[in-house]
Amino acid sequence: MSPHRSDLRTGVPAWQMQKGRLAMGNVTRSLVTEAKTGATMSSGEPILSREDRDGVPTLVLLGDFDLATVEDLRAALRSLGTAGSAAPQLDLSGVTFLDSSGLGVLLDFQRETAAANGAVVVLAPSAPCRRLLEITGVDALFDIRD
Amino acid sequence: MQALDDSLDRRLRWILAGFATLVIFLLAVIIPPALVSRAAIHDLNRRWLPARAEARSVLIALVDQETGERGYVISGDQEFLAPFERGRSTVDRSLVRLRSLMDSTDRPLVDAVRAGYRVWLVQSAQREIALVRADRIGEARSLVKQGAGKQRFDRVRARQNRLIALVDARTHEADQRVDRANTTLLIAAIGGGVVALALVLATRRWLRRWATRHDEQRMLERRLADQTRLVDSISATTDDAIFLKDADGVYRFANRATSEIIGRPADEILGLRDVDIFPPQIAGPIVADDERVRAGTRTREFDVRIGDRTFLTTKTPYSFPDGTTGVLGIAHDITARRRGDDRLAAIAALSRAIAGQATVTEIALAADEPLRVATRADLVWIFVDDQRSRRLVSVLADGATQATADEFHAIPYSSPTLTGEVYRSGQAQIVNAADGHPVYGANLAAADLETSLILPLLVGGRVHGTVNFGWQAERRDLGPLDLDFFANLAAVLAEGITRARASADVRAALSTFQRALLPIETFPADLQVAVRYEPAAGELRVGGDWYDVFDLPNGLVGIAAGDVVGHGIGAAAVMGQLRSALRAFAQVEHDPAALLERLDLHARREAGAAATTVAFVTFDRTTGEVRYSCAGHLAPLLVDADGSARYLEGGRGLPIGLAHTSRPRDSATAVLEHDGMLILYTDGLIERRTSSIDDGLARLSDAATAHRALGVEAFADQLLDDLGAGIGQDDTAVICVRRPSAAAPWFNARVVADPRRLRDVRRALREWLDGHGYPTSRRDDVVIATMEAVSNAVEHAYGLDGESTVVVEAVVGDGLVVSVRDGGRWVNPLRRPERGRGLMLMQALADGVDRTSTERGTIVTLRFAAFADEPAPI
Repeated sequence: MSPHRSDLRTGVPAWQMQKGRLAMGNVTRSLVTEAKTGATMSSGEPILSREDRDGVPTLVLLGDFDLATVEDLRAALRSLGTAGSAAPQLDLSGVTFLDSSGLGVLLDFQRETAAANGAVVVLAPSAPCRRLLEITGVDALFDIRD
Repeated sequence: MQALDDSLDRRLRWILAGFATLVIFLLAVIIPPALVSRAAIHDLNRRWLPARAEARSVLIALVDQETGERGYVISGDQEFLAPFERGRSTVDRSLVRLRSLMDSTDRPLVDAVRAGYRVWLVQSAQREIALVRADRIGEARSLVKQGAGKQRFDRVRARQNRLIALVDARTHEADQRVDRANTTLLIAAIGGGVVALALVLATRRWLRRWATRHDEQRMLERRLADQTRLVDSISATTDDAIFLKDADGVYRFANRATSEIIGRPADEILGLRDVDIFPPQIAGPIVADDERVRAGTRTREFDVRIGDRTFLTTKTPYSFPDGTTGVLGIAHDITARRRGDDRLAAIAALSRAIAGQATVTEIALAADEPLRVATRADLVWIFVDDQRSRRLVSVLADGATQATADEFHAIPYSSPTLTGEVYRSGQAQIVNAADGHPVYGANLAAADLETSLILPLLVGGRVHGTVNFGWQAERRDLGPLDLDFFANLAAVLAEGITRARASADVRAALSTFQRALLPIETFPADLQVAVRYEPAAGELRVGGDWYDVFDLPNGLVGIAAGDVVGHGIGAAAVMGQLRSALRAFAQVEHDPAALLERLDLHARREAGAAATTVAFVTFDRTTGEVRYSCAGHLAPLLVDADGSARYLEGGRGLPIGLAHTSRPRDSATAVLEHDGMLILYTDGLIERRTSSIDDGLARLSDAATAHRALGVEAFADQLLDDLGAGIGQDDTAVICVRRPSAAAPWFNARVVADPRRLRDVRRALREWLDGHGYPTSRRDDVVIATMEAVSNAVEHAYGLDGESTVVVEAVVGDGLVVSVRDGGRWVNPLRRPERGRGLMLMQALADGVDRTSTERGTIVTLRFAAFADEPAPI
């Protein structure tokens, strides 16, 4: 439990989001997908990246996630897979917007992995994200860690 | 018949008895006198006629004796003694006999004769004879001379003569008795005969009369018997119920059909009343009918429903011999006829219901009720084919469970379902669950149906889909007529659906055409623009009115409204031409008047373009200056931020394209303030047959003032509502352009229905909310809720078409009101669970969620309550 916390604290704080995104191109993290609009990297442009944090597969979500990107999110989660002993982690600290379609994908993912690996770990959800989870009453389904 | 025989027998007996009496009477009358007569004749013949002869022979013998005696005495000749001797025996014998013939009263005379004779014989004759014999002739002669003998003999003779007279008298008496008896007999015979004859004649007459009557009666009885037999045979064989009820409503007669309808043997029905036989809801009306009939004198007809059968019952008052009045009824089963009528009505109702519907979905929805009523089906399901996806798409699933409806929302042509089979074969199918169909039995059971009937939607030999009916009760009663009926319903439905599809194809084409002519998503982003287009009522939603808003060089914006003469697709084509020309000219000619003059020249060369009215405005977004010119068009309306409205009356000229347009056109100017609004429109908005144009202009100006605080979209809706447009005899176009200030209370974003454009809306809304000082958490709530509504609209509209727009509008006032509009109707808005969660999110985050669907589209309105540091409304 504690290594995760320290990872998170030293990992991707929300205020570093922009920098982290810009850095992505030349670091070892595998870029899973990026919105097709490419070059114009305005705020809210969603980015999905996969990391290993102490051997735990972690998907980092940055930006806005809506109907347009829901299938990208689904594909990224699928590739994150359910392999390994530990439950996969989702880093939602950089999510600036998540709507019900994105939440639906997260819930599908949770359903698929829950049986094999236990609850999906959600790391430090951003305020809009937390609000969404609470309002829809699905926060109890995830292992939310700040 | 039996009674008649009895009567005949009785009469015959009477006749025989009468004859016997007559014979006895005749015998009684005739026999006594006949006997008397016979006795009298017998008396005469056997007594008095022999008596008379004896009396005379006695006299003769006496005379002979006396003569012989005297002769002997005188002559002494023995010969004279012979008669004497002969006479002695004769006289004695005759007198004895005579005595026996005589009545005792008359016998003394006979005795006297005998006595006198003996005296004569002994004292005179025999003495004298004896004297003679003794030869004492003298003495004998002296004796004779003395005459004593003579005297004695005379006495005898006298007595004998008296006897003869007596006998003669007696004979005469007897003879008279015979005559009397004969007369009596004759009279009796005649009298008896006359009486008998009279009786016979009378009897004969009576018999003849009776026989005549009897024959008539027999004939009547035979006729009656024939009629009775006929009635019996009719009432037994007819399928009409024939019955007779008495004054108390008790059945007195019920034929076979009656007993079949009632379902009890006829002899059980007799003695019962309707209330004993039928449930109250059936018996009640029947009893009431009977009372009406009994109270009146004439025959009446009633419709009587028993179960699912309908009878035309003819009832007539019937007088019983005891003076009471009953009801004689004949009930004819008109179920089939009535069903036929009902079915024609049902088909007509279906036709009517779907006639006004434009789309397949609307037709299916409208057909649901009439189909259910007509078929009493528990499930009505309509599939139409989709050639692109090669699937049968469910457009109505009434009575199906949500799970079933979802499962069979769209089934491939090749589906092994019964629906697929019917679609492929074009042959109707009926399946009963009880028959255990190897493939479909389970489906029926799963749907809780006993019987399913699936018909192809056939038009001109081509199958366009299927209509499926399901019943929870088994329907083995469906006969050929019923199937014809169902096929007719399916045919009407198929006709409507193909018509709607054809017109949908045309509409889709025209809609594309019109959209190409009237693009709506390219308005300048710094202006808030709402447009409304309402073609004249008609099948084809296209017209000749247009509006346009477009960017021009030098920070100018061109705004146009126009109206081509005429309606429909021809006018639309001309409109497209002129609109394109106007846009093209506007790029090089910024003065409205000069632009319209160019358009004049252009319009003269275009067929159908002459007399088009146009209002053209250029708006300088930096200064707010408005330059305008009107070619026969209604004056644009300018609404200031404070709500004061005025028409831009300058720059007027003739419609374009008229040959005699020689006068140069003018442009006029005005200023559109921040938060003010410019409204261009066509005459359909204000022209009404019942009121003047001035009234319309006044109403438009009033409405604009009244609704100025609304967002442009809501404002445009209110204008149309207030002015009653859309019912229209004429095409109507409206364009409302607002020039918002930086602090304007209105937010307006228009995006193509494409998920990739969601972020643009999101960003704009965030910025606007930030600009109005919304704290981040509050802002995010509004954004999340709004974006759920936008996602719904985009997903829905995108799925439908991919070309429509979604407009998000927000107004800050007492709280925040966000509205999300799309151009369609949400038939099934919450199919996916994510959408359900989206609605839940909206409801959780907003203080009020409202959705209204109109023919202009669907509007979702989210209300957020004011918070403490909410910016004040302008």
